[in-house]
Amino acid sequence: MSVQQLFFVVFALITIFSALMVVSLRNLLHSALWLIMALLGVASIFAILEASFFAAVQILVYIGAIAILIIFAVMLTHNIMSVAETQTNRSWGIALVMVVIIFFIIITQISTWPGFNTRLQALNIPGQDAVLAFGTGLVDPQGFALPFETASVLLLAALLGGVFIAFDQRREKKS
Amino acid sequence: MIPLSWYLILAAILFLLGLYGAMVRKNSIAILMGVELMLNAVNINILAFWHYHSQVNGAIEINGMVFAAIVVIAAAAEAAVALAIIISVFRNNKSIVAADMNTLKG
Repeated sequence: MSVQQLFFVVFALITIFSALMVVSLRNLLHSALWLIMALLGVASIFAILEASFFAAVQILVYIGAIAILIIFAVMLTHNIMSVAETQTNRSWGIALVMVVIIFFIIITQISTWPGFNTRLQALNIPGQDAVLAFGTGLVDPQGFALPFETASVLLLAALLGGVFIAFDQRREKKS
Repeated sequence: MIPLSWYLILAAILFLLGLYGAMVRKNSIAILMGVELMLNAVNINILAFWHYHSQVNGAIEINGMVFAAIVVIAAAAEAAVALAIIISVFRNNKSIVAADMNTLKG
């Protein structure tokens, strides 16, 4: 096993263990902290894949924004569910069985694809060429300019919608 | 030289853990965390195939990167709106258990 494979296995095990903690812990704040660990593991997997831009974006957007937002929501709704009561609904057994079955179906299906065991070689991208090509493709009218602009409109709509939904209208009228 | 299959298996495990969390948890914030795990698994898959495709073609493909970026953008929008809804429901119902959100039920 080469050094790269060793790194991959270590980061993959960290990610899977953290994800297991996220779905199994009773204390929601602890599972939010394990979620940060899982996202960090995914960021290192991206770095191993030579998608360095996405490793940075993963840390900035997921850990810096989404995880903090989730921790805020956990703290704002803190004393609603006590840690003592069970956090799962009654059908966790059948859900577990279903998930295991789906896993074996996925693995048997994708292992029939001939490219399944392809070894990913180093891409040898010189300098910042990958990020430059990505940025040029996003603003190129022949490329992805329309999806890029649509994404910005989507983010604006989500921002306005979030403010509007979370706004307390009754309390505003009273004061 | 890591085989492509390792990434696919890791992504499958992560996706199914997220699916289990989203199906089983009572608390709606915990359901949202499961969804985030699923989106991350999808991104691992997309970037693994991006690397594979760039390697086969011998040139940098940008389609896969754009796909991954769109997934990140959609995840950010989804998290913001979902947490706003959760805060609003908490203010009105004093509960964020998903089974209690049945005001729209006929």
